[in-house]
Parts: sequence; structure tokens; C-alpha cells
Amino acid sequence: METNAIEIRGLTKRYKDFALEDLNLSLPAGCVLGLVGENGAGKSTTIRLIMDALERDSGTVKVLGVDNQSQAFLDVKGEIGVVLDETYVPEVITAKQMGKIMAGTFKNWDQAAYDGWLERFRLPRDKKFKDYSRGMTMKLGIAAALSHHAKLLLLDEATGGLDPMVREELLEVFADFAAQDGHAVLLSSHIVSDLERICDYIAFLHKGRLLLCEEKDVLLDRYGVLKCTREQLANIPQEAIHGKRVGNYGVEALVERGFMPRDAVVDRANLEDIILYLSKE
Amino acid sequence: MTGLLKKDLFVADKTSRLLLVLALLFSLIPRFETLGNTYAMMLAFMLPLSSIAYDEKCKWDRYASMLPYRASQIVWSKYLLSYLYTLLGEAIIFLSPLLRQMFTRAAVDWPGVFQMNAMLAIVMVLIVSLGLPALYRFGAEKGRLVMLLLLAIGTGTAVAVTKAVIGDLRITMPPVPVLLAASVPAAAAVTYFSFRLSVHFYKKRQNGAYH
Repeated sequence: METNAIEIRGLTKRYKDFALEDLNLSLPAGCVLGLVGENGAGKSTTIRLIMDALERDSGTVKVLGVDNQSQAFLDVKGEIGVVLDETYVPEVITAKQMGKIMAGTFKNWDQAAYDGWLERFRLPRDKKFKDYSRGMTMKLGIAAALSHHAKLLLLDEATGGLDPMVREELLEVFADFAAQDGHAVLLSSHIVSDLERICDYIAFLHKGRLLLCEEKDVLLDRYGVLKCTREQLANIPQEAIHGKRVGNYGVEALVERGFMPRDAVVDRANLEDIILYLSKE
Repeated sequence: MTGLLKKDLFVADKTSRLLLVLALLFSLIPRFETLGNTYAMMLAFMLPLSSIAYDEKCKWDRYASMLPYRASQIVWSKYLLSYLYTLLGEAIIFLSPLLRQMFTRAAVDWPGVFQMNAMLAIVMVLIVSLGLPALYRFGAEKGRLVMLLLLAIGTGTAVAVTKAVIGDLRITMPPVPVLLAASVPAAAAVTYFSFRLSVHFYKKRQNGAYH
């Protein structure tokens, strides 16, 4: 397997009212990359461009070592499992029929694995999609994505709108998938806590631009939250401050530990703090 | 591509079975044979049309574009679906005189049935070739109106030309088998251009051109 499961260089896609500009992003093999950003930041556009489902204006995308505009990419698509924010499958289809559709779609379709996932997720085989709950629908999408020996999993808001228990269950599934040799996962979400739990890398898209792409642990080490008075903040080097929230009783600021005085007391920042402050910077 | 066809067949399963049975019943009723036969053939367009409408409703193409299919395969599957239902319609048109013959012992003009079937098949291929690009360009809702308009213009032109050739110019029409043989490559050429156009419209639609 190539070093990078996904390698994006200078990717640009312009619409009338939105542009994804000059995106450079790599997902190393064996890792989980969380793509975070507000609604409309360009996460879904990025995933569609990765799958060559959209025409790009410029840039290159390699997936599992293959240019996604080459003839060979069709075979590579067979090694990618995709789960979108909805299943987008006609509501009269049943899980059993879905298996047959996928068997006619993927060369490596594994019916036994699919049956196993249906059982594990307790999904009825003969019930139509329209009678499924959202959690069940998403689980079915995941069962389909994991039953053809995929090496790469692309998840576009796959945990959105689910209750915490189902999200927990699915995150475990994704983490198990990622733990297998050579597997990689790109998980797009605006539920930052989900990303913090399972991601190795975090990419932050904001209004179509990549604001950061970093190892999660490096990010969490680099930034911290400082709670102080306005006067104390004035004495902090400006390059350390990446955003602040001023209240009646003091100031809360996202700071970069490397620029902070040694005696400063800086609390641990979680990913949500970092993303929120950086997006307002 | 079998996955795409299976999906469409699962979606149309109950409806298509009901419509095919109705078509067979119509074609068995004396004096309604022509209506039944026409109805049987129209299914070849009606069912793919409703399949595209279904796809639009559930945004299937968003998912399909993530699967290992080329845009051309996704589009071609709808043409194949039309041809599959054309074959089923043809089966009904063969079956109804056969059943009538069994029950009434009436003589059947089998060469005539074969010729009628072949002509209807070519007409259906042309209708599908006309209709699918319209559906991909305008969507299922507007596309069916555009398609009906094109069909009316096409039929009007064909009738006028035929009338001019047979009536006013007094040119003798070639025998039906010759006409059929000549129309096969013409239908193939129309299908080719129709398919290319449908793929073009499909890709533009995928890129948000018609939203």
C-alpha cells in the first residue's frame, strides 16, 4: 500500500456562491483523519471530489496510490467504502435487496460479512427503508460499506443526527476498521467530540479553505486555554493568543503554549475549543 | 452494472408486474388488442421514467456516484431497463394472439405479428432515445413534458412526410421487411447520439448545472 491513502494537491472547485480553494491534504495509510468544519465549509464537496463524482477546476487527487481521473480508479473505487449523511437509497428497498444490489456492484462483495453486519446491528432483512429509524438506516449504509473488503472508508457526516448510544457503537466500528493493517478512514463531521475520540489527524475546513491539518495530539499539546483578567491578558505575547472570549468576570483565551511564559497556568484545550477559537480568528 | 439494474427492478417490481398483467389483459380483449399492445410497449418508457423520478426523489445519484460505476454505466442502465421492458412488452404482444388462438381457434397472422412487433420495438427504441436525454436535461417532472412535446413534433413530422411520400409524390413505399432492415441501423445511430447526449446532461446535472 502507498504511504498515503489519500493525497490531495492544489484542489480547487468553484461554484457561483462557494469555492473550495487550493486544498492540500494527505491521509497517511493506517490513520484516521477527521475533516471538521461548519455546514457548507466544503467537507462534502471534498469527499465528492475525492471520489471524482464532481468535476474539479484544478488540482490532483490520488487515492490508494491511483490518480482519481485515471481509468484504474474505477477498480480503486471498489476498495473504498462510502457512507454519506443519508443512505440515498429508494425507500422501498429492503436490506436483503440492498445486499443483492451491492453484490452486483462490488467485485469483492462478501455476502457472509454483510449478513454478519446485519446481525450485529440487529437490522431486519425484509423491512423496507421507509420503516427504518435514522440509526438503522445509517447502520445499513455502514454494513454495505464494510462488506466488500474496503481499504479506505469515507464517512460524510455518518454520525450526524444519531443518538449518543448509536454514535458510540458506530465509532467503535470505525475504530476497529482503522485498527486493521493498512486501513484508513476519512471521517467528516461537525461533531468535534466524535473526531477527538477516534482521529489521529484533524483537518479544519472553514469557508472552503483548509485552516489546519495536524496530528490531533500535536494540536492538543500546542494549544491551551488561559483564564485570566484583561490586565493579565495584556501582558501575554500577542503571537500566543489565537482567540479570546471576554466576559464580565474575566477573559478566556486560546493560547499557544510555546509562546507562553513558563509560570503561566494554561488549562488543557479540547478539540472543540481549538476549532471554535481558530474559526473566529 | 447488474447492481444498477437490480435496484431499478426492485423499485419497479410491484408496479411493473401489475402494469404488465393489465397490458396482457387489455391485449386479450377483442377490439382492444391495439390499445393493449400500445400500452404494453409504452411500459418500456413509463417504467424507466418512474425509475428516474424515484432516483431524483431519494437522490440516488449522489450515492451511485460513490460506487464503482462510470457516469456512462449509470445512464446506460436506464437504456437497458427500457430495452428489458420493451422485450417484456413484445412478449405480451406475442402471447396475446397465442392465447386467443388457443381459446378461440382463430387464425393468427404470425408474419404480421412479427412485423408489427419489430416495428413497435424500433418505435420504442426511438421514443426512449428521444425521451431519456430530455429526462436527464430537465429532470423527471419537466422532462416528461418536454419528451411529450418532442414526441408530438416527431409524430407530426413522420405523418406529414409519409403522407407526402405516399400521397402527393405518389412514391411506392418499400415492403415492410425492407423498411425494417433499413430502420435498424438508423435506430442504432439515434441511440448512440441519444446516449452520448444523456451522459453529457447527466454529468452536467451531477455538477449542479441544472439546479
